[in-house]
Amino acid sequence: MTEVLIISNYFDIISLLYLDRTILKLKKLILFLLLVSSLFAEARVYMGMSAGAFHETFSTVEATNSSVIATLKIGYGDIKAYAVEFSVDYAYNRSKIFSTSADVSRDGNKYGFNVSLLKSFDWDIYILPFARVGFGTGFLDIDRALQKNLSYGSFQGTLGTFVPVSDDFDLELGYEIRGTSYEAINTIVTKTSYGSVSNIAYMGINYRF
Amino acid sequence: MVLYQILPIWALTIDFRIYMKLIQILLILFSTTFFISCGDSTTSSPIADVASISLDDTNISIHSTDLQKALTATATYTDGTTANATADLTWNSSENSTLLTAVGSVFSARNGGDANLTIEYANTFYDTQNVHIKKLISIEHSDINISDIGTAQTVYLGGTFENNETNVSLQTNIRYVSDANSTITDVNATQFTLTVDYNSSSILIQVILFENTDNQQDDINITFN
Repeated sequence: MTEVLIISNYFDIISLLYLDRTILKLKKLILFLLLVSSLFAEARVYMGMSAGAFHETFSTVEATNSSVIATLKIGYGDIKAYAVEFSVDYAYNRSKIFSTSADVSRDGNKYGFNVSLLKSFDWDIYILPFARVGFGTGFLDIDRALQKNLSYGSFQGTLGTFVPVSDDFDLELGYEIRGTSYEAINTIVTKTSYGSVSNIAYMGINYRF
Repeated sequence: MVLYQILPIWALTIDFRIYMKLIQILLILFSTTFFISCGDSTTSSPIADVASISLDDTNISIHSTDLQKALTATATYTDGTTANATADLTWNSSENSTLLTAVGSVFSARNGGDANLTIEYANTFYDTQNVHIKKLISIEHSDINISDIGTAQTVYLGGTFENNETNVSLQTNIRYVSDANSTITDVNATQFTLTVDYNSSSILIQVILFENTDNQQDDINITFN
């Protein structure tokens, strides 16, 4: 009889452990579903455009670039929570840093493509502050003896805020810091890479479908 | 009357203070960046570009029996600086049957002639110079005691090239062939000597030039009587 009881207890323990694990798994599943549902409950596709000014400072050569930038983007997410954004940007360069030809007075325009993740905060203060991080790639036209364009990669972080105007429209104000690493400049004997840090202030408008 | 006295009571909540703080931060950021954005832009590239490449030698010549002729090439930049670009360029000969090239050097492929040496980079920069290969006309040699048959003897050699250049080293592209009465036991290209063993009072050593090329010549004979 004792042996039977022991065996019975053994199975009870196993069953309880199994039940615990199952409950734990269910809890995780429920939490995950809650998270997903909260993330996507208000998610919408949105498009936006913005314009801004930037100041770029190079790290390994004494050069600066104060120019303007425009961005078109498409995103998906909740204005009050998370979003993912894909954007293309166009910068009109006023500086002549890479080009050496006497035929041009400035470097060519810069075209870029970026992917970013955004987290906004609903503090019930009418505006929706956000933080965004992302990376991108692009190129700019230059006029050098051995290179006619220069590709680059970038990482960027943004602090800003959405200002809802209506259910569908919101304004966006932001301040972005962007680190850019350019393709190496070829001077036959050496190939030197240049990097820069840009401070970008912009404002734009978004439409949420 | 101050601002908080004319604002409704809700405006004094913590939310409003956060709101004002954010606006304040954004205004500071914007004004700072716009202020900076109005700064100067560099309008003249500080990164020097390549202006030209050139061979350092202009009247290049090589004796047909020289091991090689070492050359250097220089890149000149728009800011006036220069750099040794020898290893970064492509070296080509206009006529490989006359002149062979490697990075930083040229070699003779025949006894005499001219060819153009071109250095090139990315189909953008070029420099071309003529290379003249000096022809070996004859070979000067020391004498040997021909009557001392059976004792190996050393012959000192030197080339006479076009323009009557004499005592020029014979380092390569040359092979010595002994006749039936003699044996060449050693050829020292560094010391320019030939060691010969013989069993006759008259021997003939044939000199073959550029044997392993399409330009083989065997027009020089050395006779010891």
